[in-house]
This record gives sequence, C-alpha cells and structure tokens, in this order.
Amino acid sequence: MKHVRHPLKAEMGYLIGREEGVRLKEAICRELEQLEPNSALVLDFGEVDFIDVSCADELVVKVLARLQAGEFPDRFLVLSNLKPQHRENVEAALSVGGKAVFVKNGKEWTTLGELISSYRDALEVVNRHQVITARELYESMHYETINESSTKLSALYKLCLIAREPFRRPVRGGGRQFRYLSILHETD
Amino acid sequence: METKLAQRTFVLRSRSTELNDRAFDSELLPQFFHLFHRKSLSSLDRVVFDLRSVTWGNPYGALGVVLMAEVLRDYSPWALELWLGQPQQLKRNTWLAHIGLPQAMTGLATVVGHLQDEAQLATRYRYLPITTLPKNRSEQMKLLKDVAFGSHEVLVRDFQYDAVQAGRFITALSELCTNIYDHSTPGGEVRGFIAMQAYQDAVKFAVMDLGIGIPKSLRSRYELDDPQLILKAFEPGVSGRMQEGRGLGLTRVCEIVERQDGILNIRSGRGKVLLLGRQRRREVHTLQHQSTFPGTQIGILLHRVGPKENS
Repeated sequence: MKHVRHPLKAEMGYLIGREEGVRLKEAICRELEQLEPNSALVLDFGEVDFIDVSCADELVVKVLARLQAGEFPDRFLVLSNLKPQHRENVEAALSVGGKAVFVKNGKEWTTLGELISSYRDALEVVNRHQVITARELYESMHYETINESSTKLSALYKLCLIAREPFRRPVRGGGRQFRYLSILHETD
Repeated sequence: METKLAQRTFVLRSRSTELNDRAFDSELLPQFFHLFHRKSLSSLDRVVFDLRSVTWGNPYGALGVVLMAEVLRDYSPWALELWLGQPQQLKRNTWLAHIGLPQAMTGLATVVGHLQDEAQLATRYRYLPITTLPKNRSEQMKLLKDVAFGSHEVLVRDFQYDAVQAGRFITALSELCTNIYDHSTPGGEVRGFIAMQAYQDAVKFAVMDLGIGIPKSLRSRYELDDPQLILKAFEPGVSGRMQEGRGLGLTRVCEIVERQDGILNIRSGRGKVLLLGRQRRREVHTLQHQSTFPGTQIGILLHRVGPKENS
C-alpha cells in the first residue's frame, strides 16, 4: 500500500469551524482523486495544535463518507500524529457519524471511532498478516463458516479499512475471489 | 424592582453584590420586561442600569446587561445610563472594569461613576473582556483563533491546565460561537457577544446573541415547547440550518460539561435549561415572563478536574 503524506496546515495551529473543515476537505478530496488505486492518504496532524469537532467532522467524517460511497475507489484514509486533544474531538465526530478510521503514530496504530468488536478482531488479524484471504482469516479466527470470514472482510473493505485485489481466477458460478490487504502496511 | 424618579427615569437595579446568572435571570430581566410592557416609554425618558452595589459577578451577568441595553436601544433612542460606584467605592468597580462592562456600554449608555486606573487592576484571575463577535464569519473565525490562542496560553501557562482540558474549553467556546450563526436568520444580521473569566480551578464564559433564538429556529420541525426545543438542539444532527451533519457542536459541549464537572445555563425563548455536569442532571424550566427576550443566552462553568475524574 502506497502512503502519501498530507500535512494539515492550520493558521496559528488552530483548526476551528466547519468552513475551515470544508476548505481542507476539498483539498483532501482533490488529492485522493489523484492517488493511484490502493494508496492511502495519511493526514498528518503534526502541525495542528487544536481542532474542534465541527472541523473534524468535515475533514475526517465527511471524507470517509465519500470514500465509503465509492467516490474514490480503492483509496484510503489514515490519520497520523494525533495528540490527545485531536483524538477527543475526532472521536466525538466519528462516533456521531458512525465511522472508524486508522490512527498511526510511528509504528503504533489504533482504530478510532465506531467499529463493532468482531470487526476489530478481524482487522487486527488482517493487519498482522498484512495480506490475507477469506480462508486464512477463517482458519485464524476459527469462525464457524468461511462465509462469515468473507462477510467480515467484505464489510471492512466497504468501511475503507482494508484494501483488496483479485486473487487467482474467477470461481465457479461467476464469483470472484479476493485477497485482502492491510492499508497500514506501507510499500514503496 | 423598578423605581420611578423625577423626569421619568426608570431604574433597572441589581440589588445583589454579585452580577451573575441569578441576578440577570431573576432580578434584572423581570424589571426589564415590566418596564418594557407596562410603561409607555417616550424618547425623552431615561433608563438607568444601577450597578452600584455590584462588586463581583460572572460573564453571564455582565453580558446580560449589555444585551438589555442593545435591545432598549433598538426600540427607541432612550437615554441610557450605567451607574457605577462612587470614588470611595473604587474597589467595588474593579470586577466591572476587568470584565469590560463600562467599555462595552460605551456608545450605548452614559457611564456615571468612577473606574480604577488600569494599573491598579492587578488580579489573580484572567479575563477576556466583553467582546462583540464580528458580523462577517471569516472575521469571526479569526477572532476565535485569537481567543483560543490566548485562552490556551493562559490556561496552560498560568493555571497549569493540561492541553486536553484547555482544548475542551476552546472546543466549547468555538462550538457555541459557531452556533450563533446556525441559529440566526439566514442572511440576517448576527449580533453576538462573548466574555470569559478564568481562575486557577475553573473557567467561566458566556456566549450570547440577539438572533431568532433556538426554539424559533427549530419550531417548524418539532412540535415541542421551548425548553424541550433547547434540549433538542443538543442532540446530534439537529441544527438551525437543517444541513446534513450539522449540530455536533452542542452535543460535544454537553459531553465536555459532564467531563469537566461543569454547569451549562442556557435560556432562549421561554425555555431555560440547566445542565449539571457531575450529577448528569438536567433542569428544565418554562419562563413565565410577559414576553421573550431575543436570542440565546448561554453561560458555562468548567472546572479543572484531576486525572482520575478526567479519564
């Protein structure tokens, strides 16, 4: 997964208000549009001292909504260098919006926002393996059926928390098989 | 209580020494409504804000006086006066000077009384004196950034708040100020004011406006009474503009009030809602005044809390 850093610029270090969020959101979406498929835009909060919840809603939740709607297929969003203050307001906006996003600080990562625990568990395994098939997840998580594994991977893909690529040849009945990729695993 | 003096002078008097939420809501506002509805005021009349007994207060009380003066001026060019203490009462006026009430009344009322020299105003508190929010939204954002930057400095450097708690204060302030625009008439003039005072262990601030108010902005969508409409505005996704995703700010303010063991006092239309953070309790009142005061008046107290309470 290619990672492209997008440093957030804030006048005086403060991101306040929905208007500022909208302005930044448009710049983020323009950049997402330019990315190659299976790339992640890493929003870097390193130069931001403060962000309020309205601004966080625009530049994280609204961007995730557009990603999930398929406006920028196979592009992903990751947040980095979040301070505790950022984390609180971003999390508040994500909770209301019912969305989740990856936060990466150095080699550590976590998810922020709303994600049911069984999805979190599956995500943990995908990130550990970096590349995984539905069968491998099924074996690793001891799900009752392979279909349960496929459903979870498909849902995580729709939430833009994992990537996928076609795997082997089409299966009988016209279906396609995928292998799923961690978006945290950075490649050149 | 209103007192009629010679030459038709009407006095709005705070008998309390503290000009706070209670003084504004329970003392000054009833006098204001009585004056407004029972007296046929003429342009020759004089209206006096008698604050000679005031020695202390909070931003809510101080901003309330400015709002009353603004409303009176809107209706007629009555002569308005603000009475402060006499020279021997200089100490009494210290707080009023810090919160910037006499300065904010300049242009609205004649200030009668004496103020201490600014050099004598040393205080262990920190203030953002009464400030008028710019009508232009981008200028408002610039002002908010200045206020946020200054407040953060004061809270973290002078009072050793941690960055998260200072951030919560700024979040509450910015969301409430932004809300003024969301509950204003589209295209209408926005008149909003803020003020703040900070101590070692708490921050108090007020955000007030003379817009259409929360109940009026939501009434077309919900069949609720005014206090319930105010509570409705605190639910996520509810705002005066009816735009998708709006209305997160007030929800977040409620969370902050709970986490910072704070108190939120909000009145608009005939509704008054009190959120008590620690108890997670909400008091709801329907005001029985003859009419309603315009806009929305919000006062907030946020305590600094220890690491354990903060988690």
